[in-house]
Amino acid sequence: MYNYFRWFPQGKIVFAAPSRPLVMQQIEACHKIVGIPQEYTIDLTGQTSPTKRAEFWKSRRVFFVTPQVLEKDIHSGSCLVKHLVCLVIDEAHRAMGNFAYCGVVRELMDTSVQLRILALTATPGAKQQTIQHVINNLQISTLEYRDESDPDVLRYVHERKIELIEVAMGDEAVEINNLLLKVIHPLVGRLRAFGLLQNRDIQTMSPHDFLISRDRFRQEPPQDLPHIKYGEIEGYFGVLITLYHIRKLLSSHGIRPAFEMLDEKIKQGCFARHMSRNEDFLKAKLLMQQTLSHGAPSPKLAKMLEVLIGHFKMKDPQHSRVIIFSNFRGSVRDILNALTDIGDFVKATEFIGQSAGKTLKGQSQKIQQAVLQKFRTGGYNVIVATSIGEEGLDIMEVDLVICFDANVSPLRMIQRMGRTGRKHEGRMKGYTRKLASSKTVTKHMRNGGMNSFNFHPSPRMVPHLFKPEVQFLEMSIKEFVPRGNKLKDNVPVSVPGYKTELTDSETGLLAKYFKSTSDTWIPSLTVFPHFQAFPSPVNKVLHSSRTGFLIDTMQYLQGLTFDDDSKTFSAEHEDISEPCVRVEEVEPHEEIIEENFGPAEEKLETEVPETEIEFKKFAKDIDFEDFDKQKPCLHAPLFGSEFVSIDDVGNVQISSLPELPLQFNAKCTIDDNMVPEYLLVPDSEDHEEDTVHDANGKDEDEDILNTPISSRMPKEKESSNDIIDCELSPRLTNFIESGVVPESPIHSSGPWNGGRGNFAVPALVSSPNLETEFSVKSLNLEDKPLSVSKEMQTPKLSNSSNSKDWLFDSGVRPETVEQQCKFRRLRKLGDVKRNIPSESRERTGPSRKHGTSRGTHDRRPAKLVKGEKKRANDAVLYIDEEAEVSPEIMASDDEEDEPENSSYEDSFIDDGTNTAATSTQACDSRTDMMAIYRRSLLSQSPFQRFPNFDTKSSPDSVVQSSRIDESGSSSGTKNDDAKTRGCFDSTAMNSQFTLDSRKRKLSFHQTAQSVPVVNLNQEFLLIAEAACEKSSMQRQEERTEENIDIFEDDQFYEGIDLDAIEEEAAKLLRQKTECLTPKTATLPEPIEQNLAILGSPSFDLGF
Amino acid sequence: MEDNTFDPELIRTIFRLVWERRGAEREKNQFSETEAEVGPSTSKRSRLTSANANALKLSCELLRVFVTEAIQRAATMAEAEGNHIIEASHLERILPQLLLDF
Repeated sequence: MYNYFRWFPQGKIVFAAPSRPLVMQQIEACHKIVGIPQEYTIDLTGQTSPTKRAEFWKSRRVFFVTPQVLEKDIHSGSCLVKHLVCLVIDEAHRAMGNFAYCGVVRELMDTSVQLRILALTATPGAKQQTIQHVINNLQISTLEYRDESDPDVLRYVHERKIELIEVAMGDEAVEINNLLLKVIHPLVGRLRAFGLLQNRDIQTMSPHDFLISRDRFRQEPPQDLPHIKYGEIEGYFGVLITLYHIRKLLSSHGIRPAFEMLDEKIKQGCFARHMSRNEDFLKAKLLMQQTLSHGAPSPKLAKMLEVLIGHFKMKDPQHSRVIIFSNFRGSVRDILNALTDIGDFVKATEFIGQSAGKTLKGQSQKIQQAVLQKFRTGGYNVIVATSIGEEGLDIMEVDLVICFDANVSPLRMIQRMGRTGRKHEGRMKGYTRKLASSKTVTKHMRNGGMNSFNFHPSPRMVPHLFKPEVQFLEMSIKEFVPRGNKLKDNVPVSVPGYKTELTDSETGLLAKYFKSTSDTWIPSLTVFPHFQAFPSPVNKVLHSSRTGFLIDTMQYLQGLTFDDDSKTFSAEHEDISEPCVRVEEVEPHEEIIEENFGPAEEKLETEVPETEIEFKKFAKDIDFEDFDKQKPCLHAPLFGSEFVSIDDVGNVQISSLPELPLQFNAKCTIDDNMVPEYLLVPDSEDHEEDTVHDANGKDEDEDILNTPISSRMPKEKESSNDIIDCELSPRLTNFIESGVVPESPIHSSGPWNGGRGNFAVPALVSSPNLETEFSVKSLNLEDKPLSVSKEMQTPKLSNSSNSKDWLFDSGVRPETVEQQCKFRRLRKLGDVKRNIPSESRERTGPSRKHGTSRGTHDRRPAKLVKGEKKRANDAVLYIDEEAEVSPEIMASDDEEDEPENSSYEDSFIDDGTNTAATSTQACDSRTDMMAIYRRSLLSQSPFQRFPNFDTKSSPDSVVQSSRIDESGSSSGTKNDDAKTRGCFDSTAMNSQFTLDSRKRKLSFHQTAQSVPVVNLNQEFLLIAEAACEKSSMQRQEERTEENIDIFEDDQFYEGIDLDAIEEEAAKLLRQKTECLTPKTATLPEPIEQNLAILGSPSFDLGF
Repeated sequence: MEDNTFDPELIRTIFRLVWERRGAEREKNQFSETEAEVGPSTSKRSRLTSANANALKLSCELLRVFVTEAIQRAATMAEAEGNHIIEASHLERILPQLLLDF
């Protein structure tokens, strides 16, 4: 083998051994003996994955394999057959039948590779045929036989003593045996009668004989036997085989295994059928049971123990190794049990195969290897093995082999004997019969087998030119590194391919840094805490959120107050508490809002309070990312600019509107509502706070729309703290509720009150501003909402509202604003009047205003109804509407109220459309209205505001609203025109709506009702502000009157497609048609108000 | 994925070193247990951790990104000081956040 290794540097050598432990053993042996460098060798077993094996087949030269693996790899082609030069087959006698060896050789022959096959075995076979089989299968060309006496073997053979100890069976066993024979006798006799058995002594027959006889019987049954008998005969055979088997067990292993076997067999049908009634058999069984219950040990076992003890007395138990072979696991267990009793010097373990039996678990190969390892190292000195231990295990130290049952085949006996005497001289003990007649075979082989075997010629692999000479080489053998079980340990220790060695400078560098391995520098994470308070510059990998946390924490810990924001907020809060400047108030409001919106708060906080507006915007944006964002933006501008930046706000709103037309508008309106509230609030801190709360509530409501109802609750609570605040907040909440979703009735009630208060306030405010007319309007308005407790609230509210109004006025030229509002109203009225020229138009005009206000109210309730469904909610909504109206009034006296109404109408329309689409949209529309109001208030220029409202509300499209605003700003008349157009549109819409459904009727009613209003409006127009006030009063009256109708109208509106209405209104506005839309709006609004006031059920219906 | 990343073999070797060390510790801890069993090497626990080719590639890339990021950040810190040599202190300054970023 080594020669081939040298001769064929490219060739591959395969060493095949049948079992994995053997493979491991051989690889070590080969290394030790011939010194094939370990890097060329590899062992491949089933444990190695096929892909890895393929790699190894390429990279290595000497392989130690199991034949199964070899066969598979040849099949799969991963084994490079072409390069094979030598195949060594260990334990070649296994090459019988279908064993993998044969497959391997066949495959190799098929590929016609020139290679040398070297087959080794100690036990070629007992018969000539078997040896011939092996030779054929392996294509052996020459056979060399080495005997123990041959000189080149003799060196390795130590003296071996074979003792045969015959142990007589115990008395009980003999008795049982006799009983069994008695059982057997009649059966055998019967079979003989059929001529199926030779006449032989019953005692000497073995199961094997019966098997042969049965086979013969099956193949050629006697002619004269009827077929019926066949089954019977088969039965006899079966029983006899079993019985003889039991007998054999009895004789070789003792009573216990025999009894166990018998017990097992008797449970099976055939045997039980034949034996269960047999007296002798039962007696035998009973006897066996008795002896077993006495625990009578088998004499063989006793003798074996005796021998063992004697052996260990002679030899040092530490260095002596004993293997005990037994054929049955059952007896292995018996032996083990017996061995545990005899003393500490015997450390015994079992060594059995993998298959799991009934009583014993098999040992896995790993455990087997571990057992062998321990056996070698001295952990065990006795192994009780089944036939698995027979072959090939090379345990040098074994000096005693005990074959507990020696009546196995001579081949196995030889193998067993081969286990001993390898290093020391050893003994072999057999207990029963002598070794079989293998001598004849050895004779054949000694002659070289040339005569008796047919050999297969194999070509000479070394060219004849070379005459190999025997050389004695001093071989330097490196120490073998045992592979162990950790295959992966040293598989690819593949040194990374840095072939260039380190230069001196590099090693110096390494030494510099790594010399002191004990105190390697460990970077500290804590030395620069101040650097952790700021995000460090980043290359490609951005900071993670955890880093953000760290930075925040560090900032906090180091008191690096970016908390300025929070401080400012607190200051703002303080401001809020204090009746400070509006701006301050606005700030607190913003803060509150921010507070309400937790997430937004942080961001806002981070930003400086100076840019309160920005904060608000941010907060709003943050809070309402979607709709909310737009809303907050609006709020922010409103707040920030407070009044001055109203225009800007309006612009902002517009900008936002284009983005999210309807929703944004709605939000904007909400924001506006909030803003006006805020504006109102600033006068009195409480009011301010309330307003703030309201605003917060609104925002929250918006949020609520998004999600947080709870936020509303706290806000409401806050509002509840201060009655006024509560009132204000309730308004907001009401609005919010109405706009957004139905809140809890309690909240609604609170908002109601607030709403009432608000209403009263606006009324009051308006009243001061607008004087009696306004007050009347407010009263009227209040009265309308009062249905519940508006009156009661009104006083309180009036105070608050007054203060608010004052604030507003102070902030934004409240008086002028109011006047402007009045003017606006007047203008609106005038527009209406202008529109009125046609009676229907006129009617529509007043109806518009009233309707707008009413409509806004109505719409709100409708929204509320939609959202809340609860009557209380509805009432709240009404209140909200009223409140809205009132703020409008507050902001811009009668005129403002009117525009507000109109805006409300518009918004309502929008809302209606929105509601049609979704309640949220409706809310949005409301918000839009609010925003419009706010804008108008802020802008002070009532015209623009009004037109804006109208445009926004009616057209839904921001652009339109902006246009209208522009027109309004340019000239009140224009605004009026726009309004009138809107009114016309609205009227047209109304007509359409009416046509569409009951709304038509309602609208008619409204129109009818509105006619007086219109008249009033006309009067107002004529009278101007006073007229406006009257008109407002009239409107209120009309509203009251129309309420019922309005309810119906609301229903109609609900039925009608709001979107369509909006579109129509937008078109109309664009066309600058007269304010028909406001009419429509007014119509639905009053209806809603009426519905709300009169009966919630109608709302429900509407919903 | 850039070409000039770490040599996977190097990374594997480093990993293996760590795994071996950890495996040894684990085995020490469980020695008493395994002794009761028949062989120390028979249990799965003692088998070494391993990484397949792709995992190794990914590890290389991650390490490359980590190292380059660390160096870049440290470099900016050094530059901020007008220093052209990255020193340990620079690394320490960016280290906590760097570790949190990965």
